[in-house]
Amino acid sequence: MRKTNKAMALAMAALMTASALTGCGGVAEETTAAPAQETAGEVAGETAAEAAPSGEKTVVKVWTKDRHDASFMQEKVDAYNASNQDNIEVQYEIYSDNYPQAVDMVFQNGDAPDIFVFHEQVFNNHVNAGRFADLTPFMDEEFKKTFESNMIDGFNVLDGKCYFVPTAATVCRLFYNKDIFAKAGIEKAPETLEEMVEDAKTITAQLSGEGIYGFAANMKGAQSALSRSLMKQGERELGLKFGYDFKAGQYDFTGYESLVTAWKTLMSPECAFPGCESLDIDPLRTQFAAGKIGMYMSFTHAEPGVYANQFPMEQEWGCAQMPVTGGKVVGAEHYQPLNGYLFNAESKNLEAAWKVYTAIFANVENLKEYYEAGFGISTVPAVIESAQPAQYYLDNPALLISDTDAVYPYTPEEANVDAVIVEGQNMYETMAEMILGDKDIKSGLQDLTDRYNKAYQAGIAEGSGTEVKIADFDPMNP
Amino acid sequence: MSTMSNLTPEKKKRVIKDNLRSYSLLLPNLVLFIAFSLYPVFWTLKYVFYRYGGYGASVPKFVGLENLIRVFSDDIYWKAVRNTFVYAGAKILFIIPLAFFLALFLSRSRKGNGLLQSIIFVPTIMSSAVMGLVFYLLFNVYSGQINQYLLNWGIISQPINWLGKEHAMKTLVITAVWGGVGNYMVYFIAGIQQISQDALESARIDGANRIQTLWYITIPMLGPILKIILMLSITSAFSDMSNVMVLTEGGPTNATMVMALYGYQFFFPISAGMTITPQYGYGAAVSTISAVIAGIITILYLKASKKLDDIY
Repeated sequence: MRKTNKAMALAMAALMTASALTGCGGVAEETTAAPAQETAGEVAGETAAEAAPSGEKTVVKVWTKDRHDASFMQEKVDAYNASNQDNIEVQYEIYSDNYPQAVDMVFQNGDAPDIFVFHEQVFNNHVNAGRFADLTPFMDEEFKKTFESNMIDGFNVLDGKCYFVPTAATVCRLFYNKDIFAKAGIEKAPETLEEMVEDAKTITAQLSGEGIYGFAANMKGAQSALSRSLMKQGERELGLKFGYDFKAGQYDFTGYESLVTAWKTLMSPECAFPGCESLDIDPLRTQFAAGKIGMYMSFTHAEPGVYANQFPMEQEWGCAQMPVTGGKVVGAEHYQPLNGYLFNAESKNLEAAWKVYTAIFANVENLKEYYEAGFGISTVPAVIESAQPAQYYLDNPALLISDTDAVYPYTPEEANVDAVIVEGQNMYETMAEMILGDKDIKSGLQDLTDRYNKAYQAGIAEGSGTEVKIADFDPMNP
Repeated sequence: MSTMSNLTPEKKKRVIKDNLRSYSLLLPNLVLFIAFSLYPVFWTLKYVFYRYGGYGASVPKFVGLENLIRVFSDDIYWKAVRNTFVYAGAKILFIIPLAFFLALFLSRSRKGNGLLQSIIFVPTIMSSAVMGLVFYLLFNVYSGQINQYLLNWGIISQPINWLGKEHAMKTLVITAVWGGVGNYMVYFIAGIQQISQDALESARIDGANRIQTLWYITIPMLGPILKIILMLSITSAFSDMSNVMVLTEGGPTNATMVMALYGYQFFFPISAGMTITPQYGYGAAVSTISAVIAGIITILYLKASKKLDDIY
């Protein structure tokens, strides 16, 4: 009896430990990548009327991950709910934490909403399984004309099917404190990587006694820090997106040596704000707003609003293009299209959803207000032409998408997350180790190249991935 | 011993009724245990042998032992294992004696002890995310209160980078001790209050001083509860990750990565600014091996602690 109890106790202890340590996802049984059985147009024919018996409202559920524009959007939704003549009620729900996982769950449960805000991982995870409706059959000529420039082949238009229409965008830039620059005797924003390093050194050397430093990066999360900075510099300097050379059809990180070396100096005590390796983006912003940081890199859609509302900044900030080695730009910078809306292919309310979408989210007047209020940078010509943008856009034209920015195709890893399973640390963690002096740069970049190509080739060999090679790829016009 | 066959029909009925009542009381917990403990364990074990990028990405593909082999050649994982041992060892080393002495001091019925017990216990019920953020504000190098005080008191001349590579693990241990000491203190107080006053009184009459009473009476009589406290502290220290996730995200450059968080990140992003390529199969393999390691430690401890059972 005692032995049995002991055995039971050991077994229970092991189980307790195991359950504490194992990932308890509860997600997913096998899924099949079945293509959508019906086109959006076919579904549209049997929509709202069927879903809502006469008298009952047709409920259209919209999911978003965006919190920064929540009050603006909710106001528009409320106005629509109060005024629409189609007996439609929009339920606008925010899922800002773990949005991709929430979408995964809801697809599995069969209770997916009618509309999802675009998120790259969500789109890439589910588009091949046919879970999003093709919007083309719903579009009339006016819509097509208004959003013509937002139809990007290989991005939101795949094989002639349009899955979402981005109406705004964000891009990464160098943000600098004009007052600090003036105090350190620096006349203009750096145009080359060498100038940037020198400026950072000058600021730290002259002003660190006052608690002011040349450069900062939110290195607490390597991916968050480097995807908004070094990787973007890489696009301009090397014409590579996340280390992928579309022309050669392979990964090549060796070209990042100059950038990583410069970053190593930028993150050294010669230049860097103390404690950068554990700094998050918001604490970084508070210190920038407090006039303690000379320069950092981030997204243009977020920062102006941050310094106007979240962390009001008294000193003057400026914005410049990402500096590259010798100022030699060989590639466009990839800008991130935003504010697209994906439609659930299995929704019974597709027609009603389209009405909601065009009345609220693709309404030119609403988009104009959105842009003017500084919630996002519009990429819709009809909006840009008629809107009066916020003052900071006029003061800092570099905030806007320019002809040096473009949308790159998806890298093999982006196109199919399951096809490039890289063993060991990812590119961000590896580069962070080099930048913080834990790894040799040259051999580290070669190792990164080898590991990514090995994973890419393995994906192709197994049939889960396909070769991505664009013989006439021009990084200036990707 | 009587068996059911020896009982009269009436007694049988009563026994069955009693058993039914007992089982019906157990049922809700049993259902929850199966749903939230057993099922995830078997779910995880299944995916150890699959390559699976998560729901929606693709169909799980059977890869045999590939994920397990990969774990054994994954340097970062083994670094995380080493870090886990350092973290768990340091946490237990500090938290148990501290909790014991606090319990010893606060278990006496003295004015204000109840309030002190409550204050020390409060971190236990606080969200670890909130705790992490508060400690981030306290420990950050540029404006943290800890550095300000140490500088003002002349203890240091330069701010310490508490969350940098060199000190981040120590900072994590400090926060973990602060967050958990109240819990173990309560267990110790419960144990101390169970000690027979007669035994303590006899020791005093025999001329034992306070230290002798503590050493020869109190500590030995706390043996059974100490065994439970140590086991709980070991299992929780080996699976601790929320504290690490909020305060350092395992960084800088994996200096504070622990095995539970390393496995977690293959399922979910650690922070809002992070996107991940889910690798459920590999994450399951990492989690399973981590569970085996923690299980071995627990079993070794249970064997080694057998003596504690025999003391009392």
